[in-house]
Amino acid sequence: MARLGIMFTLFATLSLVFSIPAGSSDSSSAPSDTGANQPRFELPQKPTSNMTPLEQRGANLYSYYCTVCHGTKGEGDGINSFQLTTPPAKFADAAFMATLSDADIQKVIRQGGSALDKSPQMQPWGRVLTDQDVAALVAYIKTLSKN
Amino acid sequence: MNGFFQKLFPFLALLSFLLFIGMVWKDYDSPYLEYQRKFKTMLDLKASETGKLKGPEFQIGFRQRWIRELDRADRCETCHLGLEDPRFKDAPQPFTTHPAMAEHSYEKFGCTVCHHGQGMATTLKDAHGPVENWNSALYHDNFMENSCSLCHGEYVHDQAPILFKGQNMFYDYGCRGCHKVAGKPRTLTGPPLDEMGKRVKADWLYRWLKGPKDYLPTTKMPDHEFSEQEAADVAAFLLLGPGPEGEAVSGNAGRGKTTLLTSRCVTCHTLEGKGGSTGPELSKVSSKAWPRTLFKTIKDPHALWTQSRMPIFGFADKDIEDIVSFMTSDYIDLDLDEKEAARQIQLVKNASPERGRELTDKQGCIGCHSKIPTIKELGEIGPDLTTFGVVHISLLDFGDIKVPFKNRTVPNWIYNKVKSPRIFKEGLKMPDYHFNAEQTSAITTYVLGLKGKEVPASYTLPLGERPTDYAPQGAFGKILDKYRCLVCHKINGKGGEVANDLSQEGSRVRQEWIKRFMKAPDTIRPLLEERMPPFKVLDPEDEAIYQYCRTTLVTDKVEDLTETVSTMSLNDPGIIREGEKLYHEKYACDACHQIIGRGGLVGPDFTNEEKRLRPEWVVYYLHDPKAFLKRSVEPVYAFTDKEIEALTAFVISPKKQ
Ligand code: HEC
Ligand code: HEM
Repeated sequence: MARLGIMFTLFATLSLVFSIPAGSSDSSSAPSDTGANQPRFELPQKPTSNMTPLEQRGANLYSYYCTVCHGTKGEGDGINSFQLTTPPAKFADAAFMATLSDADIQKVIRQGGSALDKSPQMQPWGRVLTDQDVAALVAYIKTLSKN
Repeated sequence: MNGFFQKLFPFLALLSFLLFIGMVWKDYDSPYLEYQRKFKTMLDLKASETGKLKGPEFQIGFRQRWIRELDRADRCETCHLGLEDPRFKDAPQPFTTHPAMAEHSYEKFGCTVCHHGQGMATTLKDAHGPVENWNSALYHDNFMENSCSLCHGEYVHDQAPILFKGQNMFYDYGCRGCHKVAGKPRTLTGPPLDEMGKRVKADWLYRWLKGPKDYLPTTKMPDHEFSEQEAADVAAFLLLGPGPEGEAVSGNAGRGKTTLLTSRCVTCHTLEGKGGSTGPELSKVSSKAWPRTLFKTIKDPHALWTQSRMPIFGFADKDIEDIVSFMTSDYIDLDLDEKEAARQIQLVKNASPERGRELTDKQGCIGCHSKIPTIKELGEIGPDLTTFGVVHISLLDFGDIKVPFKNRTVPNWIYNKVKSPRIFKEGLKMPDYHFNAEQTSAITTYVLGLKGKEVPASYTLPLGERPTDYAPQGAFGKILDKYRCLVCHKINGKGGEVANDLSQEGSRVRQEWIKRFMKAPDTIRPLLEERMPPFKVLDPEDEAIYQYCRTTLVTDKVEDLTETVSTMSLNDPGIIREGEKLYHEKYACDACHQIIGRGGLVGPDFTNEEKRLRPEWVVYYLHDPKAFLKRSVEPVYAFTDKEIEALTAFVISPKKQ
């Protein structure tokens, strides 16, 4: 009986030792500020963006291809817009955007204004942009009327 | 005594038995099982939404991918169960679908080669890190792109913009001057520092050393955080030797102003807040440089600094005197405090050049600047960074700063070191570039990518275009050097992005036009702000330029079209009219191109195209604009051959007023 007891005790002690969590060096203290000019340890911040990756991609394409006419905020006031005989669509205008279906927007971007009996000054970008690009542009354009 | 133990035994025995059961249970109930059960319910739920009663068979258990070539075993999918299943797009982690990865199959790459973390671990904490003795915690999103360089090499412009930016910054800002990176040559990024006394004013030099960004916010020179005395010492050392030569420049400031404003200096220099960033801002330059230096710089910038990016304009001496007179009277620092400047001059006068020399030595100025008097070539005073991306965390000294364990990672260390170089220890040599968070992240990303490792050939896929070492000889080579054409233009893969690529220029434009344009460049694309400066191109030079363009900067794709074009009726008024109709009505080219003041500003103006573009080129371009410029904003149309003929005829026809 005593032998058995000693073995159990030994076992218990051992398992106790091994079940103590290993990573105990975690000292979660705040960065110390010593001196006023001492630079602080900073954690790199993610660039704050409330856009989804798709919209972000759309935003990049938009600023490269579309802003000259449609304007940076989709107000239809890009630097080139004043040279056009038809004013470019205003994506910031929620009422106007409500009249366009996603399929229409995709079609216009791919095939140009003529595809929907609009002005051909809206050019066909279907051979420049991939399907994913176009989807990204649609997603981004639709965010412009949301604030 | 004995009795006491005997009474204790049963309790201890029970305790140990419970612990034993606990251990066994703990092993059989790993946290990942919890996730797997949850995932199974989600699967069943998804199935019932689509009308099926039960989800597909789901095997509870480990999931591991062994990527032999990369020597990795990743168990991430044990918990990240929805990676490849698009239905889990909006599911919470760890079930979220991974964004589409066209070319990066899980079979071939696994997870950790890009994300890092501990592939074999199956608990949240161990897998994501940081874990003691396991070096690489999961990469922060900011730095993920560093992994791309492992297989794709460098200059991954479109696909990894942060890495690309970091890489360019690393070499542009002269990090390479102090830090060795195997296989990368050291280039001197700063100007030579000989004869400073002839060139710049003592008080300016003092202020510059104290804070370069105060004078020139866009400068690439870092802040060495000199004290007042140190800055004065270094200035005194650099000013040893001859002082300014022949103060006075007697020109006509009024005429100088006209010359300066019509020479399109703003293509590279900023003036009154507007202009390019290729050269430094100019509006305070007379509080920095002595007039004779300005004169010499304009006359032949390359004599002062062989690497200067400024072209030799070819002005007559009289014109330069005028320009310098204008600069001396107008381009001064209006905020300069005279009394303070006098104090600074005095400070420099009383300073110790010998201490200045020691400081210059210690700070490693030679890493970026050549011709520092009496300092022998040293450079590369910082640690070698060839494999710094995989440095072991235990080798990085966090100094006295208390950083919680979970933040003690290699990326965080590099980030903070770059952001404030003296954060971990006072008195270190590394200077402060005052980078913002975005720039710091970019540099950190590049440094993390320096792994000095190679992947098997089946994984290497260089992307992006690395600069070539195009350097023509002969007359044309001399011209490129004199006018520094490659600062703005690219030829055969080398050069800047400011202006258009000239690799096919000979196939593109007509002989007479090249010659006229070289002598009197006008506006081709109205929207661009960078304009070609009017160099004083000499007579034999324009001929040499034309010859080189016509013989070397050509593409067969255009030259082979000569026959096709000769069968076209480009002068037929009917066809021209047809082209005009297509141009205005069907394709609305006028949305971007202007003719006699009507039309858009995006593309080239077509008013005088009969003198500029070759018909072969227009045919070639209309077939495939992307062949000229990959990132052209010209839409791609599907013209018929007839339409191309008509449009070409119209574009190169003389336009009626
Ligand atoms: C050359 C100028 C120009 C450029 C560049 C341009 N657009 Fe347009 N766009 C127009 C004009 C003009 C209209 C108006 C057509 C009309 O109402 O007849 C328009 C209309 C539109 C419309 C609305 C069509 C409708 O049904 O009313 C969409 C969507 C659109 N553009 C998307 C884009 C996108 C996306 C890009 C960038 C890839 C782009 N545009 C680039 C000129 C331009
Ligand atoms: C069918 C109508 C069009 C025709 C016939 C046409 C024709 C041309 C030609 C011949 C060139 C070559 C000029 C040179 O090499 O110097 C050119 C260049 C250019 N075009 Fe057009 N174009 C048309 C529509 C457009 C539109 C709608 C845009 C803007 C959205 C545009 C933007 C440009 C730009 C930016 C260039 C400069 C080079 C480049 O970036 O590729 N063009 N165009």
